[in-house]
Amino acid sequence: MNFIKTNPSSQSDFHLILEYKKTERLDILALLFQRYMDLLYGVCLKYLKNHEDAQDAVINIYEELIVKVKKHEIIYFKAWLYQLTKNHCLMKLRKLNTKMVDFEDGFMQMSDDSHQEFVFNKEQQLLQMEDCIKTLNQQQKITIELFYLQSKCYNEIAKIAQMELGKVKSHIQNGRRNLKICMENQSKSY
Amino acid sequence: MEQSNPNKKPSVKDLIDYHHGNMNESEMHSIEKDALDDSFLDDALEGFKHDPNAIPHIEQLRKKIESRNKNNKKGIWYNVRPFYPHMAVAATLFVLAFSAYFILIRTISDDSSLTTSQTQQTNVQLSKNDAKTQSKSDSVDLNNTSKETKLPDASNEKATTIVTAENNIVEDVPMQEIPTEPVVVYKSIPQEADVTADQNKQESTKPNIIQAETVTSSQTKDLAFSETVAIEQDEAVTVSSAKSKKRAVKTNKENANRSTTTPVSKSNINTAQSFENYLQKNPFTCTDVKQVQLHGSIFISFKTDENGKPEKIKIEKSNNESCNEAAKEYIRNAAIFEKKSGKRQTIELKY
Repeated sequence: MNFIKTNPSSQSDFHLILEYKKTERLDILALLFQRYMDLLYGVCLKYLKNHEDAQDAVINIYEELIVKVKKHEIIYFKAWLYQLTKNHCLMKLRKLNTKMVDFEDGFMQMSDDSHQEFVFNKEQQLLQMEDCIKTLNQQQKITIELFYLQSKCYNEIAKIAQMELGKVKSHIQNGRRNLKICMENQSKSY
Repeated sequence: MEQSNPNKKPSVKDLIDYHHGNMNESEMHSIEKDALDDSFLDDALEGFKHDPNAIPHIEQLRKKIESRNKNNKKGIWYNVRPFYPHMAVAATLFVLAFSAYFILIRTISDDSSLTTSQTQQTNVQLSKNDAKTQSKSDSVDLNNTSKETKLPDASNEKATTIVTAENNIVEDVPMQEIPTEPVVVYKSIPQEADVTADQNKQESTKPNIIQAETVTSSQTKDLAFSETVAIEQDEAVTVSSAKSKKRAVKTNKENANRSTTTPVSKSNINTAQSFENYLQKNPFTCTDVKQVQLHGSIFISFKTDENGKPEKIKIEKSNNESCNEAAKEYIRNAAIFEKKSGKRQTIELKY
């Protein structure tokens, strides 16, 4: 039994979810929600491209959350909330019968990469990476080397490589995906 | 399994600054690197380029959510929500106990009233038995003095089981011997002393003075007893009234059940007397209040006619209205009083 109550703001997402499920206190849910509300608003802005619609969407998502958090078994709240936000926005767009947002290359792949951790030996990783970078195409190889090895931002890479800003990001994302596949294959062969 | 709380995320201001070009290359690179690892951040970073004034808009959102939470705050009943089952059980038990209490109280009161009525009935039946034996013994005397005594024909009535209250003995008493209906008793009263023998002879076949007393069956015992006394008094006292008067008082069953008036004795009938003497001999009782052991008094006024019979009976003051009828009946069935014609006299009946 907890005799000393801990400050909810210092608790992890998981504990706050448990607390909310137990007590159904909205202030706890609001605390959890506001941790990611700015990102959530940004995502809504990305899809809806309008701050009023985005604000409405944020409030609606909060309303959904009140019910859904109680029903679902949530382990990674941030990832779950991101998926919920995306679905909500896409549903809204579908209802409005507007043109779907064009996803950039590697968008879906990127979401998978976000939660994966690579545990490699550093030396082994470097060796593998050197070999794998060689397998990438020229544009991916240049953008990856500039971004990761020389720590250049997108604008600088675009200027150096003389590419559009959107394509820089796309080449980096695709290069990351190919590198990952290549390194996983190599680790299996070892 | 727990998720670590990522507090190192870039702020909204950083994301907006990224789009406004307020960051150097290394800061931008850092955010881009984070965004590549975090698709949530990456989308948000992309989204903020559509709203340069995102910070006030996010503040508005915070206020909206807070106000929504305030509106959703529950009252005191929400706080006691965990105790709802206990409260429901307690309320049910309370209702059950309350109903049981009232049912019990009602049952007890019904039982007590039933016992009382049974006791009364038993007393009545016992008095009937006594009256029957007494009337048999007095029948000879009555034949000597009174010309005719009639009892109702109850030959068709069946036997009734009587439960005595004292010893709970069940007896079968034939009802034909114990009249349950009010008995009309015709009594002849001899005229003045100077009545001739011929007249007496005629009167022997046809009673001159016939008083009809309608009495309840419970009064039969006292009646039979009082007849004997009345006969003795008849011999000693000369009745002043020259003419006989037939008096028939009907007592309905409801009055008989509700209140039992004091039995009328023959002495009361034949003798002009003071009311005080009558009251001493025949105390007034009201059965309605006797059951609950209530005491009080009724001030009742009446006039006496030329024969000394009470008339124009009126209740002046009463503590209990349920005894009023009994009191009137008591006076109505009472004796012939001293003549105070024209004067209304008020007496107090204590019960």
